Amino acid sequence: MRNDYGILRFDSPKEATMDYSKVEHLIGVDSPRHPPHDVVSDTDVDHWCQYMQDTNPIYTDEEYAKTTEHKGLLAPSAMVHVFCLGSLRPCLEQFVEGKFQYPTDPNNQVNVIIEEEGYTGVMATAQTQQHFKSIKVGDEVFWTLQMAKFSTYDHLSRQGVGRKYTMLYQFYNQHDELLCKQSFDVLVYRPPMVTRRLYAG
Amino acid sequence: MDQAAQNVYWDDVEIKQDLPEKNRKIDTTTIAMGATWATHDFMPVHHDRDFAQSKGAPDVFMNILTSNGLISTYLEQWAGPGARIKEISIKLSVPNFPNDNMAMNARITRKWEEGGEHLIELGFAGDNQMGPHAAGTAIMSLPKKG
Repeated sequence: MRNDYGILRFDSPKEATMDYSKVEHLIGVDSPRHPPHDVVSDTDVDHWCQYMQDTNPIYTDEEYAKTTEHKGLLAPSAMVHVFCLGSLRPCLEQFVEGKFQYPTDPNNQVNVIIEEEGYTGVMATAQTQQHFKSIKVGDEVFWTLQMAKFSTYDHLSRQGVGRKYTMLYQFYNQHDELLCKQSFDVLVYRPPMVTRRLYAG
Repeated sequence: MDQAAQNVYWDDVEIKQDLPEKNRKIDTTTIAMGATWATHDFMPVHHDRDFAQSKGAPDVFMNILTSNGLISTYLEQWAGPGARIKEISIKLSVPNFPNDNMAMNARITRKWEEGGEHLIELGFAGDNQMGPHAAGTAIMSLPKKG
């Protein structure tokens, strides 16, 4: 029997597998539109460009940027998701303490369930971005997201027994114009027993 | 500075043309700074080795936003300030762990006009010593001469 991902079904003989009906009602439901924690700033863009070794003057040379059709500095399109990641504290609260900034978002409810089910390993496996409009310095980037797809049963991966899901993001600017659609594929897995013992401390 | 001189023009590129390779050293600083400083991804698996191991990973590993940023920048830096990335699709396989090197390569696979834009498609790969870290395709619009 083959599943949606074209690979054979695998049920762990050691641990009971998660029941898909626990999350089914949360799949394919959009979150409310969330505000950014900050505007798109030239400082954030400068940090990105220094790190990425990006010397494109449209991002960092204001005099040059004013002479272009954009009439000012742009942010690299690939940065769109950066402006929507939380500031430090909510982020650490989410990842270390499991407290979500938006606990009622459908995707966050799924995250709580899969953590409880023992899928503690998280690994992003793919990302696609479709860009529709340039991001300008000074813009505010709003976003919605949904968990669009979730494995109905376990896969055996190199990391361990796991589930795959796909998140869909839509990013808008303050004028309600769609900037980008992004999909984000994630593997969540139960680390194998040997790994858990090895790093148990 | 003559910015126009740095642009790659749509007229001049060919299908099967290879982009020059670019290498990035991958160490703990690269991974931690990419995640926190450049891309605001404070998930501790990308900067705290103990936390990463408690989650079942052998070491800290690069976050996908940094991988996407490095590849996007590699393509844009080649093409110059007049180019735009329209679409990019990246698949990740082997993680970028510390003490590694990522070699980025790309090749033009399509060239066409659509809706007044001059487009190319590229296939790209970022490989480390264990194999492919990131591979995928991108669609870019390039400036046209005249």
